[in-house]
Amino acid sequence: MSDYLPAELIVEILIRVPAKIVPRCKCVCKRWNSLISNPHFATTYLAHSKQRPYHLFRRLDQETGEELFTLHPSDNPDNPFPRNYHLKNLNRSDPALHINLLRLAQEVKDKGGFFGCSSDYIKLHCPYKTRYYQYFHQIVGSVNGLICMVDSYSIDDNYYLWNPSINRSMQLPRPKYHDQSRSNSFFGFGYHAPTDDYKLVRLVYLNNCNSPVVDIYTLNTGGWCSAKAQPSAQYIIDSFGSVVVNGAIHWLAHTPEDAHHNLIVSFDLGNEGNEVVFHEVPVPKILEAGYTVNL
Amino acid sequence: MSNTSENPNPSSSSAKITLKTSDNELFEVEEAVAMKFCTVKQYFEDEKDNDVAARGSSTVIPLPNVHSAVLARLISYCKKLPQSNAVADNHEEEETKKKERKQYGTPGDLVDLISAANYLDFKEGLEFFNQALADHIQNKSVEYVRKFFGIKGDFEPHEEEKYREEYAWAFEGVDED
Repeated sequence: MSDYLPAELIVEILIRVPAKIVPRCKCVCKRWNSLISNPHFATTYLAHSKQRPYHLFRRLDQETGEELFTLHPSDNPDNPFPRNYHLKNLNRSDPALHINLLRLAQEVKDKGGFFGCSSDYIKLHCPYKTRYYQYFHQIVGSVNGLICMVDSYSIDDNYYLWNPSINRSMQLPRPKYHDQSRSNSFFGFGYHAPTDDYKLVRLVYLNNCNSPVVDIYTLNTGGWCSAKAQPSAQYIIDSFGSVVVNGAIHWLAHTPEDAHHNLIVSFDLGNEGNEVVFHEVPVPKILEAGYTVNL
Repeated sequence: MSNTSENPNPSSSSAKITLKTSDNELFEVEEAVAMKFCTVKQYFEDEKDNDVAARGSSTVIPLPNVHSAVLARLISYCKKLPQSNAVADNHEEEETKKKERKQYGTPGDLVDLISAANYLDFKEGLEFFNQALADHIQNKSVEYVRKFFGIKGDFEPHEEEKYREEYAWAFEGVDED
């Protein structure tokens, strides 16, 4: 029957099946296999699936100590969290937040618990366990359905990439170990469209050094490379609080204490070579002085 | 033989266009409906340029790749065209749309409908029936999908077995055929 269904129509049908089913479709015949294996398929599939975004939730089961991940359609009115409720970086010192959280907790309870409010969520099985009981992975970021996580409660961090839709994951090699004691590490994960590549960026501020060592993992090469940044006098505030916009990773930072003001530091994912350039973006005047700013 | 009276309201003065299918059936349809098919629209506009349209609805547009049974289905879909094929705004709407897609697409006809919608360059219809077919096969076994599309599995048995083992998770949760 499909003798007369041209390749582009087969593709149009297959980009509409759930990601989990795609590998099964590859098994149908060599022609389908090669259509799906073509990088063009992945691009088309992503573009189509983005029309219906999901929110990824993660919670810790207090009893089992297990880390639970679920996907909720962001447009579902039964979502435990209403639309536009951005939780990525909660500012715990904001009193309004606590009131909101209390209200939210009551709402969730009224609906029968976090997972009682709707059957329309997808439970994911995290392929990795943190090394310590009752610890979360740190989520560096997620883009195009790919989640970058770090288990970072010891000196030898473990880095993972996980695509829950197709249940594939990989542990990344470790970056170069820095002899000197680290004072702090900051992370960002993003997609660089021009090279169709995913990058994990780690900034390490070594003690007594005001320019960070930058380690960049690129998925296409499968390896890390180090780069040097120019000395800078900003302090990034949150290790895992990066936001990726327009192909650049952004962190909130502030200048030294005596001249404290907030600003945004950005790193272009297209940055090539071993010299790293950070750009500074001012924050709105009203937020410049505060101590409780979040991206 | 003619399949007229597609318009339930005879007093309507909207222009009609006649389409001729591969099995020589004639369909007289409202211009608004016919213009959803870009292939027809293009043909119609070309004719207009050639000043043939002056003869009005006497123009018959041949559709040698579309069978009458399929065209009738497409026209009826066109008339009840859901407001938009945009992605459902919420879960409930998505469920309604799923049901709707089930009603329209008898699985066996979907491939023909897709081919015809593609030939006619009928975008909404193509999207709709593609999604209906994707809904239909998503819980089916590989064997069912092969049979459905008339495809012969061409992997070596050991290749296929290895693949199925590696991606066992993608082969779970299959309905009875």
